Amino acid sequence: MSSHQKSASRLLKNDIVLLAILVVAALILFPIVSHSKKPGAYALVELDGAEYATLSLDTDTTLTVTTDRGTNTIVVRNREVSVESADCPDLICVNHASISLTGEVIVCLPHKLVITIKSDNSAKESEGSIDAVAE
Amino acid sequence: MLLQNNGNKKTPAILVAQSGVLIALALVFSYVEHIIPIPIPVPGVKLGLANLVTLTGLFFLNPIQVFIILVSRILLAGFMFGNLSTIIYSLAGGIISFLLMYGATKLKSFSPLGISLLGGVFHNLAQLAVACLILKSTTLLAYLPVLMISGITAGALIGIVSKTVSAYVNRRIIPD
Repeated sequence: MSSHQKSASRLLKNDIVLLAILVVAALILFPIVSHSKKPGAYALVELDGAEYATLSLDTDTTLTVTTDRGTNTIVVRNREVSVESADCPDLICVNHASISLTGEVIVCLPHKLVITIKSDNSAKESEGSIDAVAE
Repeated sequence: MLLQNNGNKKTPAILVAQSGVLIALALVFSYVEHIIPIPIPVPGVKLGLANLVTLTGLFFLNPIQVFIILVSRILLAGFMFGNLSTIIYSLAGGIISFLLMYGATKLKSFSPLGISLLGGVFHNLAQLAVACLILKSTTLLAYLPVLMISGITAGALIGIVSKTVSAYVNRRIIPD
């Protein structure tokens, strides 16, 4: 009886250690992932991993992206980007809040569409890093 | 009776009947979750009620049977409420979390709560990895902390329920 209780408390202790490790890992990842959020300059629209379009946040526009997977209508208004309508099954992209800061993302998994907010110099930065790798 | 474990003397008929009942149960859980969406606009955040069947099954049934129940449920739920891409994400998350939870039951170092935490977190991590591969983009990694917290929460809740259910299954069906 007492050994059973002892092993139960040992298991509970392991559970709590595991819980603590997972929570700490998640908390450490938060600032790393959300680093340097500043107002962005343009929205990069990617389809299936390839660049499809860039939308400047300076001008209000509407872009309808149609593929054989379906349609998403992307709207830029007051320097914020949102997906106004889509025919995907989950509508996660439509329900997503507007994005405006660098690094913020709206994803439509069923249509393989990713919208990312970029800053003006991020294109140069990535070019630079590619060159650095090539050298 | 349905869950009684007479050593390994289950006849094929019992195995089939038992698996059928449990696949149906898991499908009901998937359906309930499908009709009650969680208002968090991050792909992959969900409770994972159907994991209750996989997790509790691991304590009472042969792991191969549990695996068959898991894969059958994902395929059936995918064709009924989802599409091919949801099946791929569910399979990735389901199989990885199954393997980890099975490994954790073998270790005998965690209670159902800890095993469920592992399953919940790694289910989401596997789905995120597959999403990055399919979209050929690492931008989705921004969701990593959110999905970890979501996996921890869902895992803890399912673990607590599974612990309660397991005690009941024990008392009612396998008397001391």
